[in-house]
Amino acid sequence: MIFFINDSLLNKKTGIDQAVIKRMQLFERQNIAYTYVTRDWSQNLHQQLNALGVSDRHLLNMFDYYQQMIDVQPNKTFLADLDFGLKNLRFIDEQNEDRFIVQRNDERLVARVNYQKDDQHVTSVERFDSLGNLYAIDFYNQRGFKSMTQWYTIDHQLRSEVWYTPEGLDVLHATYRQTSQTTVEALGWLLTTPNGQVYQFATITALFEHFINAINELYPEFNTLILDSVTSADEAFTRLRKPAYTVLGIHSVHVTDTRQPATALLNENYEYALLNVAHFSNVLTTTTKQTADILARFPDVQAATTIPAGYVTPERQQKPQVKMNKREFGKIVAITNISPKSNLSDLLQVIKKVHNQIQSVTLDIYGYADYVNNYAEEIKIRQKIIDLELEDVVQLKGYVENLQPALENAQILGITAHCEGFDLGLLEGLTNGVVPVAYAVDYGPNDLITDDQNGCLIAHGDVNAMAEKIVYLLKHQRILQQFSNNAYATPSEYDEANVWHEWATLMANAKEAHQL
Amino acid sequence: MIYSVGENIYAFNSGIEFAQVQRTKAFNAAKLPAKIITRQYNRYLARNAAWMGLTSSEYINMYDYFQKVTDFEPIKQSVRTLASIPRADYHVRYFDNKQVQISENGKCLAIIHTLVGQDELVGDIEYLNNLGDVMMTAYYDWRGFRSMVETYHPDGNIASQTFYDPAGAQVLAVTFMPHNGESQATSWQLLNYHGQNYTFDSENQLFTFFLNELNDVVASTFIVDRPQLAPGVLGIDTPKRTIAYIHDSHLQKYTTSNEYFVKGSYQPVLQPRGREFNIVAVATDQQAKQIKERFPACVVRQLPTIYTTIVEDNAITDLKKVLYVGRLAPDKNISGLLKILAVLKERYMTIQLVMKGYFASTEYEKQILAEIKALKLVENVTLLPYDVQNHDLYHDVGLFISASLSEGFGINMLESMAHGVPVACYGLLYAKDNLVIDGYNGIYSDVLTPHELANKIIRVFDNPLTVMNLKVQAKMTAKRYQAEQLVAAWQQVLN
Repeated sequence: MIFFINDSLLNKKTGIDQAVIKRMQLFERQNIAYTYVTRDWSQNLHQQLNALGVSDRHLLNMFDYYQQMIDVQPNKTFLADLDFGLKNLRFIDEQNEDRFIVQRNDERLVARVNYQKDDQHVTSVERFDSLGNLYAIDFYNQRGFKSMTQWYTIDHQLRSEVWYTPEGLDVLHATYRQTSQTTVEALGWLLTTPNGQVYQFATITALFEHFINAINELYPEFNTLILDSVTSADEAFTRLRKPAYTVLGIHSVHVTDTRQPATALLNENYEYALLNVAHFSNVLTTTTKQTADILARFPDVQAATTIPAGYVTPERQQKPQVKMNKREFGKIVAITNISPKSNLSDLLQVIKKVHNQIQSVTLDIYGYADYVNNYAEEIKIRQKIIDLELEDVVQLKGYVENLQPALENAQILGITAHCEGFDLGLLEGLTNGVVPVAYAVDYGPNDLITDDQNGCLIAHGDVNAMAEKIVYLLKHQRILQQFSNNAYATPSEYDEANVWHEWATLMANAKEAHQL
Repeated sequence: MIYSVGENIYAFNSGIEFAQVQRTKAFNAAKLPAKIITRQYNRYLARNAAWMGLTSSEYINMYDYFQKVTDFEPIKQSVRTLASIPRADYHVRYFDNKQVQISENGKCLAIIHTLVGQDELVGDIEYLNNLGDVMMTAYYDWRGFRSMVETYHPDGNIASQTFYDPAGAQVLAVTFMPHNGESQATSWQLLNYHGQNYTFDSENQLFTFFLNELNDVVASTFIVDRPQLAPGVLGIDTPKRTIAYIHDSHLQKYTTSNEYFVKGSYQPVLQPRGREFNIVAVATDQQAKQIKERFPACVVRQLPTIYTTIVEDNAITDLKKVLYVGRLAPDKNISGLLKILAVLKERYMTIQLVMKGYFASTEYEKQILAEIKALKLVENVTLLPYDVQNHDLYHDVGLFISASLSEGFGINMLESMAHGVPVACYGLLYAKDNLVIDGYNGIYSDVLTPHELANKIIRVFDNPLTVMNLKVQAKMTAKRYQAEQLVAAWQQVLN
C-alpha cells in the first residue's frame, strides 16, 4: 500500500495541501489504490474529503482508526435521537442561535443542542449538571453518533477530551491545561488499542508515531510511506518498527535562499529530516533543479525523485484556447497566498508603474491570507494598495475554488516571489494560456518558464524591468498572443501520463528496493 | 424477598452488619428468601462478604447490579499477566509486592498498586500525565476486573467516576464539581440501562431507582438498618412492606437538662416527609414503649436482631482472664475498660484482659497503648486483631467486660453468654433490663464509674457459687436468642 501521510485535514490553504489533493485526484483517475492518512480529529472529515473527490475507502484518519469506525455508514443525529435521561423536558427552538434549549419542568437547564441550520441535525450537545454548570460538550459526527466529548471545569476550562467507538467505548483520552485565555496544552494522551492495551503518550506526535507504526504493521506487504507533513512524523520515520519504503516529500523550498543552495540556512520544516536523510529511502521534490541541489548538499541521500506537483489532463489540453483579444485587456492576476514569501509589495510597485503608463491595467490576487502575526502581511498589502492609490486597480479576491474563468479572462500572471517550490498556480496559469512574468527564481518559475517563449523571467527584485516588460507585452499583443500559444503548449513532462509514469516508476522502485 | 438495606459490608463491621448477616442467614435457612442490599461502592465487597460468610446470592450491591457483576466469577488478575500493559513497549518494574511501575525510556508512566492483602493482584492503576500528576486512575474490583475509572480537575479533585461492566462498556457516569468549597457529585447518569439513559441529581435518587427495580421483579419487604437510607426505601413505589430497624438509642440528652430529644439521624425514620414506614422495629420493649409514647401513630415492634449458638465449653469461675470483643473506639469507652482493669488488678495482680477488635483510628490506638502503659497494664493486656471468628476466645475466660456507655444490644455480649461467660457492664438505657440482669445472669452498675463496677465484680467473684449461678442463667438468657426464635418473631410481623 502507498500511504500519503499528513497531519491536519486538507484545507486547500497551503501549497502542500493543493499538491496532495492533485496527487490523490491523479491516483483516483488512474484507479490505483492509495491511503490518505491524516492525524487530526475533525467533526466533518469525511464530508470535506468527499467534496475534494477523495473517497472514504482511501481515507485513514488516526482518530477514526482508534475509534474503530472505518466502515461506518453516514447517518445523522436529530434531537429526537438524544436521550437526556430525564422525563417531562421542555424544548425551545432558538433558531437565531441554531440550537434547541432543553429544560426541566422547573426551568433548570439540561442541555443546549446545537444543530446545522438546513435540516437541524445535531452537531454538538452542551450538557449541564444539576447545579447548572456546563460540564461537557458532546460532538456528533456525520455518522450519527457521539464521537468526542470535551469535559470542562467549573470555570469553563477544557480539562479533557475523550473519543468513543460507535459502541460508546472510551478509547482515547487527552488531558489539558489552560495556558492562556485561548490556548490549552495537552498534558498527556491515553490510548486503549482495539486489542485492549493501554498506551500513554506525552504528545500527539508520539501518538501519531504509534499510529504510523500500527498501520505499517497492519498492512502485511512492504509499504510505501510518503511523508507530506514532514515535521509531524519525521522523527518517527527515522525509526519505523517495520521496514518500509520511506519517502520524504519536499513540497516547498528546502533552503531559506535558493540562490545559495549549498550554504543557505535550511527551511525549519525540512532541517531535521534532511539532516537525517539517510533514514529515508527516497527524497521527492517537484523540480529537477531542487533535486540536484539536495543531492549536491546531502551526500547521504539514498535516492531522489522529481515528480511535478501538478499535471495537465488530456481534457484540459483538448479544451479550446482563448485568444488574447477575447480576454480583458490589461488584466493581470496573481495566484498565491498573501505571505511575506510571495513578496506582493513588489508586484504592487510593478503594477503602479504599469498603471502610470496604461490606465486600464488591473490586478486580481487569488489566494488565502497568511494568518501569521494576526494577518500582518495582508494588513501590510492592503495599506500599500492605499498608499499607492491602487484601490481601483488591485483586488484581493481570496481563495477561489474554480480559477478557470478568471484565468481565461487574464492576460498576464505576475510572480514576484523570492522563491517558489513548484508553484501550482503558475502551471495552472500556463495551461490556461496566461503569460507569466516572473522573477527568475528557483524553483518553479525557472523550471516552468522559458524566457521569451512561454513567459518572461525578470532578474529578482528588478521592479522597473518587470514593469517595462509588462508594458511592452500589453502594448504588443501579438507577441503576447505568441507567448500565450506557447504557454498552452506546456512541456509534455507535465502531461498527466508522464507525471503518472513518474509515480509508477517510484512505486516500482519501492518494490525493487524491497526485493533487494 | 426480604431485603435488609445497609450501606456496605466492611472489612471491619459494626453490629449492624452482623445483625443483617444473621437475619439474612436465619431467614434463608427458614426458606424465607432474603438478601442484604448495600448502597456504597466498594470494590472489596466480595471479599468482605465472603469473610462474613455470605454467598453472592445473599447480598446485592447497587453498583454491582448496574455493572452486571452481582454473580461475577472471581479471577485472580495478577499484575504479571495484565493484558492491558504493552510489555514489548514499556518496562514493568516490581518494586515490591505492593507497587509496580510502568515506564518508558526511564520515565514513569503509570503506577500499579496491588490489592490490599493480595500481593501481585491488580488493585488500581494510576496513569500519570507529563507533569507527573495522576490524570486517570483505573480501579480494579477484588474479583479481578476493571470496575471504575476516575479523572481529575486541574486542582487534583475528582472530576468524574465512570463505572464499567466487565465488557468495558460505561454503565454509570458521575460528574463532580466544586460546590460550597467541596467537590460534590452533581450529575449521575445511568447509561444504556435496558436501552435507556437515566439522569439523577444524587446517589440517593439513583438508590431509590435501584430499589424500585428490585421491587419491580417481586414486591418485597425492605428492612432499613441505617437511618440515612430511610428516604431511599420510602421512595419505593409499591413495596410489600417497609420496616426501619433502630439499632441504637434514638434519643439524645440535652446538654442543658435531663430531657431527651430525637436524634437528627432518626428523624427520617420517625418523622419522615411523605410516606411512613409500615413498622419501626427495635431490640427492646422499653425502647418500643418510648417511641410509641412520643409517636402514637407509629407501628412499633420489638424484634430480635441477633441470635447465637449455645456452646458448652466454659466452667471458669475465677478472674484470671477477662475478655472484651468489639470495636476499639471512643464510644466503646476503652479507656474506661482499662480503668476497670486497673482496679481489678489491685486484687488480682496477674489478671489478664484480652481485647479483640479493630481500632477506630491510629490516633485512638496510640492513645490506648499510651494509657495501657500509664496504668502499668502492659503485662495484663493482650490485643488480638479483628476477625469474624470468635469462638476460640471464650473457653478460658471468667468474665466479659464492656465499659460502653451507648450499647444497644451487643452481639458479643450475647455470644459470651452463650458460652456461659457472664457479662459485666454499665447499667444503660436499654441493655440492662433485657440482656444483662444484675445479679441474675451478669453484673452491672448504675453508677457509671470504674471503681463501682470493678468493686461489684470483685464482690461477685469472691463467691464462686454466685458466679456459677450467673453462668447458668447467662446461658439460659442466650437460649432465648436462637435462630428459630428470631425467625418466629419476625414471621409474626412479616405475615
